[in-house]
Amino acid sequence: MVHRVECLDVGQGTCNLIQLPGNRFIVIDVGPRGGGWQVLIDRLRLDPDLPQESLPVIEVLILSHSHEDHIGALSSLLESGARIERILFTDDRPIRDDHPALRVIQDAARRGKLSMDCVWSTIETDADGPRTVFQSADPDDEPNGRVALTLLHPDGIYAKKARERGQPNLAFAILHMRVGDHRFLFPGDAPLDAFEVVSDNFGRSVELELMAVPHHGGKTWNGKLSPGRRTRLQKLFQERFRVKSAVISIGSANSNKHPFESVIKALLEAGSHVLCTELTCRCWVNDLDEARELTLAHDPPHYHGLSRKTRPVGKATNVGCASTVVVKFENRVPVIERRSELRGVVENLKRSGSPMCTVN
Amino acid sequence: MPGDVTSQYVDNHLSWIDDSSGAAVLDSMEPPVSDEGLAASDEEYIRCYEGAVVKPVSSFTDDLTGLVFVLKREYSPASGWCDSDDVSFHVATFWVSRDSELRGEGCSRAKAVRDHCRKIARRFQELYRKLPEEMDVKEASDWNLLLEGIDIEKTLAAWPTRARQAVEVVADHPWKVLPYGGVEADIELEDAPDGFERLKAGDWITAVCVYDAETHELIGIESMRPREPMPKLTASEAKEMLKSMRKTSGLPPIDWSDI
Repeated sequence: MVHRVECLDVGQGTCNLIQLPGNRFIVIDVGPRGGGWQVLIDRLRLDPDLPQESLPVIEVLILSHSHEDHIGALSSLLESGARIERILFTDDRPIRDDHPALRVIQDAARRGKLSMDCVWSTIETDADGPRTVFQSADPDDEPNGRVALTLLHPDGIYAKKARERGQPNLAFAILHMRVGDHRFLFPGDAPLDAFEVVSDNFGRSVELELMAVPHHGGKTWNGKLSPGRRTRLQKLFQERFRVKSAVISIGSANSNKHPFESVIKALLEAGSHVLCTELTCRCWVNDLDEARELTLAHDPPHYHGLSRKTRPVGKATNVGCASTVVVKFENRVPVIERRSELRGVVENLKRSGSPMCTVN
Repeated sequence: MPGDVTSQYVDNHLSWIDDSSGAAVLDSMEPPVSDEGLAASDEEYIRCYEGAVVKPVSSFTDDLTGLVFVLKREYSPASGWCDSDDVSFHVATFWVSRDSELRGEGCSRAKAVRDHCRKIARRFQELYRKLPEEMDVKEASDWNLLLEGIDIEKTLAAWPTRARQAVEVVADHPWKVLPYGGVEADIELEDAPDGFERLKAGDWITAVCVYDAETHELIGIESMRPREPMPKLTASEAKEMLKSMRKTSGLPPIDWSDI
């Protein structure tokens, strides 16, 4: 049974959480170093004073790829005592002596905080086809429908390329979760090409309840989104993956200028609702004086009225449009919490500018 | 919360004076013992006497954990005196009823209020770890009762983040630390545990770090123990490690049409 799905507001980075009964979780990426990781520690209630049996169990921790904004919090998570049953780790770097995830995993294992038996790597050149990562035991006991988490990608070719070229984004893991009849996609920083490969493998149009937008709505391959790629992106979302809600995990005023307008436009044209975990420089109102007057409905009080200039960059406290996006299940149907409140925020933005996001 | 207090009549009003500071901490507009009040619990046969109304509070600090609980509005902790066949004690409540398990009890009003704060804090932290759908009927009832008085958003926003981390001391006299996966921060000795002053640049500790809830800045270290530096991984070690790992190709395959 899945209680809820959360795209956490960890600033410029990605951390998705799936809560199962009994203080158990599936975690897909852990967010960046800096301040954002604290959101995950708080959310999991990893109090250092709690006895071991009260700490949460992470059934599966998946690191989609080895970029800092996805794995930066790994050390703090392992130190803080969460009981991790399995880690799925993407070996996407050339073998050098600076592998950030391996270093942390090895240290934790050496000090008895982690069993090496629990670590699985996606390095493989002969594995074809998707793999089941997690599946609920008895579908009859699942009030919201059977849960199945599947690793769709990378396949061997991509993992090999990523290692040889030193480009972790090539070997990102794409995770698909099915809860009853509802589908969720967590594609890490997957490029457009990989989406097309996955889509071809499906061989049919797939309806997604929620998609964590890859690469924070930024570039979908190495560099600019050319007109040709834009057309492919539009086709992807209009014909292959029909996304009901697209969540962009992002930090405000990020130096990468995420999200790209073209990515959001492609999603909007395909009828998706787009939410950002933070208010970003790309959709913020142009007039800073107006921005200072803008109060977001669910902003913590200490951020009311702060402009993008006065909000610290890349920290989770830059709460924006949606902050953490929470999906709950009501009568087996996934529902985004605070939807009406989010609508109000977007309407508020519309009065002072042209927000790229939409909540219907 | 105030410490022990003694009562004094000042200008026909009863005031409670903090024993340690001498300051008035609780005010009353009427004497502490007057008419017989409602029984706190019929089963317990406890008789209650209406007591004083004390100074309103908008938040309180749990003295065991140091956590601040922000209330939705100001509450005057209604206090009273209970006596049964064997014992007599003060009771205190903010918004819950007198027969609630959360009522505070103590040999003085201040202690009863403090006990009430502790019970609220303890129950809140027990239930905060559960989702509403995981609570039984009693727990759900208690949680709703707590949320009647506690502003959960402001309360959680006020709680610092505490996390155990590997920390490198990057400078001493004055001290700078770099939590692994975090950012470099200055640390004052008064915000660090005993023994921290003996650390030198290059030392590593495992520490419970405390971060400000709003700024995410390191504000202190609660406890620590020495540890080895975070090891560097050589290329051969990395290769060996990867070789020893299980591969996801060993996970159960699934057909695309079954996903």
